[in-house]
Amino acid sequence: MNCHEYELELGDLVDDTLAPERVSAVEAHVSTCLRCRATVADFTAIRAATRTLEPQMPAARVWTSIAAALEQEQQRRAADATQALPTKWWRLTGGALAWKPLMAAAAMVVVLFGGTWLAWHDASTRAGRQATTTATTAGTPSTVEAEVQLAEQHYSTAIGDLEKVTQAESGSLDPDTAKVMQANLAVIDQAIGQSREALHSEPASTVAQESLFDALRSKVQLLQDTVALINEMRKGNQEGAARIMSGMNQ
Amino acid sequence: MAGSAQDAEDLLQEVFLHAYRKLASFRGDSTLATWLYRLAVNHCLDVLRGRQKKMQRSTDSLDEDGAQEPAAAMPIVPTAVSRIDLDRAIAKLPDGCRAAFVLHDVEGFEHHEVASLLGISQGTSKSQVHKARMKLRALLSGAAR
Repeated sequence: MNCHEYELELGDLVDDTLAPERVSAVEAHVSTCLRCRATVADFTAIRAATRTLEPQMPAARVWTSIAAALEQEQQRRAADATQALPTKWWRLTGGALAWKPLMAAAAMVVVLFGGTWLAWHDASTRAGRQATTTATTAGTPSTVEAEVQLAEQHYSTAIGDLEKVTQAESGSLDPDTAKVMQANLAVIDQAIGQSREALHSEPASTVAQESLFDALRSKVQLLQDTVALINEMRKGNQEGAARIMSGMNQ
Repeated sequence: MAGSAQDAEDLLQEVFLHAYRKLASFRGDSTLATWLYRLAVNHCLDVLRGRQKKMQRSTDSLDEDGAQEPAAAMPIVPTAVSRIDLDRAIAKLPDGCRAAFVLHDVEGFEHHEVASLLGISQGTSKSQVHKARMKLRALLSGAAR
């Protein structure tokens, strides 16, 4: 046999994994072959050197970056989960959970939605006088009204379905959290009512239309989040509940 | 396996995100550490394959880029190889055989484990580790001069 035929076995010899029946033959060749003996010596030196290598630890900033990336991923997932509603998945059962930290996050919702309503209220008042002009460019009043009514009907159907679920399952929510949610819904309902009034008096006002749709979307969103929150709390999944509340706060 | 610290850091972040996304698929058939390790290796290999297009090509390139076996009748690798030289030499290995070498010689996996992790035969694992050692031999002999 020439050196080439022993080639791969030299590595096994160094690793001490050579088949027992081959040891004597390979060792005999190495003892008589300067080239293979040099290869074995070098492989042994390389193997010894690699044993001294220590694990390379990433810098602290890398862990910070990973934590931030995971946080973003969590938020994206929470947003995706909310978008996927409504479905039947909330029917999963689980134990009720008192989850006090939700209160702080829920309070943020009041601020957010309250701010939205105030912004709309100011804009609506300022824009009221421009309604006639807007109507001219937006299309005929009858067409606009029909489109608005159709869109509102879709929102109302979705809201009705979601409200049935939240009312049926509201016992799973911590009472304090449920109270805050109800307060939030009241704020949004008030915004919806005022938008409808504005739209009734000025049917072609795009500002009033957008305000109404914004308020309706806000209600759908809050109800969807509430359903998701109820489900997570029934399952006792605090992490999932926290993700939902985090998404609600954005 | 990545070839540079910067690439390794990028891969580390990608692996954690990948693991987070796939955590639900962990069925407990192996330990979490094994599952995570396999996930990390596979992700690294995917990246390396993308970088090199074909892992086989990178392995074959060992014989094309001056890494032929040195015709030395005497040992040419210093008995005390510095860590810096070794790190640099490993980084210069083609991606394919570096993966096998790191898993076998640095991480301590057996050839059948390396073969399983890399999706290659045990013989190919041996061949790649051998090629890596030969390449390192040439590189380290140069570093010693």
